[in-house]
Amino acid sequence: MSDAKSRTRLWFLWHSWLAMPIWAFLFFVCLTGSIAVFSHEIMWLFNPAMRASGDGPAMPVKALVAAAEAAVPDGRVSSVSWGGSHIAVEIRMDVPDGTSVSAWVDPVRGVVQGISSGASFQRFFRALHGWLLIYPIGWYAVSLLGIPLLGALITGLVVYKRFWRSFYRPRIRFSQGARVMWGDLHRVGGTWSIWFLALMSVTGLWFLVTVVLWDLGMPLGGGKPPVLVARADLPVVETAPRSDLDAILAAAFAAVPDMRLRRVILPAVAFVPAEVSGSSGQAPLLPDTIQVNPLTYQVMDVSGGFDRSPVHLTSIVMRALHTGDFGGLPVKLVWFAFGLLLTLLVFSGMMIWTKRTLRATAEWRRTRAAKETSHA
Amino acid sequence: MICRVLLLTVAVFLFAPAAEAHYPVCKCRMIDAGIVKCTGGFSDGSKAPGVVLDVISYDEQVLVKGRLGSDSTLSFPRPDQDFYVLFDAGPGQTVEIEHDSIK
Amino acid sequence: MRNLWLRGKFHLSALVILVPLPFLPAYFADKPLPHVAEIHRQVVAGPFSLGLVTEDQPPDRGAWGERIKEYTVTFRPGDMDTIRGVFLRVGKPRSLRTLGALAEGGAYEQHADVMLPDELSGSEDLWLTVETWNGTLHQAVVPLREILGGSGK
Repeated sequence: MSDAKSRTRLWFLWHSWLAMPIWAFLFFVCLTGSIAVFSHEIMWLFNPAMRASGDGPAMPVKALVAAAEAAVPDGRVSSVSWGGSHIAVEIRMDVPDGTSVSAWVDPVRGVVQGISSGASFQRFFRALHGWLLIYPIGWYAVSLLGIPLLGALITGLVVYKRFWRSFYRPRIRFSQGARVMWGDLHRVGGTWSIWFLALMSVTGLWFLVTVVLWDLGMPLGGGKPPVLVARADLPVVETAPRSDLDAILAAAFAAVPDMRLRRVILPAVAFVPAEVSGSSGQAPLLPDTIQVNPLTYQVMDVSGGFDRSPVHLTSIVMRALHTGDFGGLPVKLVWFAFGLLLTLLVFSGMMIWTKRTLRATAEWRRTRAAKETSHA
Repeated sequence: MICRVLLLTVAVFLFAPAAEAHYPVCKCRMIDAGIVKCTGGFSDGSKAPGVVLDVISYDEQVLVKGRLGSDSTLSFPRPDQDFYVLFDAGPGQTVEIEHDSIK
Repeated sequence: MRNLWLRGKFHLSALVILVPLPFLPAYFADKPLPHVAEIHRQVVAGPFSLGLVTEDQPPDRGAWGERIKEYTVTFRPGDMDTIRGVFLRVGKPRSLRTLGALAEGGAYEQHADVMLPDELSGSEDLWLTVETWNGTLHQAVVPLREILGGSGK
């Protein structure tokens, strides 16, 4: 065997051994991650209360809030979220036992369609995927997978000669036995998801970096000092004045006109401003947040676009690129599809491995041993 | 521990980091015989340029009324009397440092 | 047996999927279950009776060397209609600007990160100040060692 061929063989073994011993874990993380991308839509599918009725002028937000508060005794609105025209408005409320519930309100009819409590499906899958429900061990274990993933990508590109042909001439042979089929699937799927593999491993390693720095006592920072309402700016009254949500939103839209609204967080504490967040047309990866005094409706701070520290920008972009949560449903669909493709890659890799690599490894060892003997 | 999980979750996954919870931190030391230098910041590693830092006597007279510079620090001559440094990022976002702990 | 090990050992990473299992019940409980023991106190500040909760753990040390203890304050329905905010501080506040750490969160449960002195004599008090919308302050005092957690040091 020539040296070049032997080197290729070694790259191939590296490629196989990087993921194989942990394939099931990787498979699990890829699968839960794909589901996490689409969790909101999956919930929407199973829970009719989350569906918006359709077209028509939306009612004022204060009418939606009034409907939600009427449906939950002693419920206090803490946030209102918009997930898109097909999803009902989610009004999150604090309840007396210290937990919170979500009321799903149709924005056109102003009717509370359902109330859900406890951890949502969405948050559950995010936690299962991100840290196996146990922090920080799970967070480390999952984000460390970025290393074998990146390694598999690089070695894969070396091993698979002229991989770019799979772009314009994808070939999957289904009739020549399982090994050939899994091999073709692995190569074509791998080629098409080069960009996605690179994205997931780099953003995944970013999550590793953030947690390592955090645990070393060197948190990244990059945020602005907090914005608070001064005591002197508060009215002296007997009971807390009611804040008008529509006026808060109007103030926010006056500051960032073309924003796609995502969430308003309403403070329970007088010194904390209301926070409106959304994304504007020009930079969907970089959400805008607007802090508004909830009583005077004066805009106290606008953070958006590139007007942030480099560290802060990086965190935001990395997170958005990892989750695919920045361009609405089309982007999510792409992320979901490629997430499943990645899951399939792990599985097909394992199938190929059991059918081929064990034998190849033994052979390579034999060759090397023979070579060493002959050199001796 | 639970707080950290929450914080990290919020910081990295849920929202843009603007919404994350953190508390103010501040350290002061003598840089030469008569000058105190204070550095402010936040527990998440964020800097604090422009945040108020006042030096106040024990009878509540403001001796130095200042704001941190672009490097998040402020230097001032050490007062002769007893005093405390108040790093004040807003209501409930304060750090107090007593004069006898500044060395 | 040996054959089974040879063929099966690389599927063992599937066991990682068992890791989240013990945490499932806590995750789906109506109220998140505490991971560690907690200390609970009911404190009265003027017309308000508030819950004060902390983990029975020693304070954390932050990146700047500061000692930090997180406290949770709980409210009864209607309390937040008249309360602007609740502040916590070790020792009596010397002015309106130094009421201590502001508790933040929802209408029924809020959290505050309270900075502790480096050295504790054991005789310190935790001062809780309730500021109402009409500007009145109501205070409550709890011996710190009773609500510090860990060994009380």
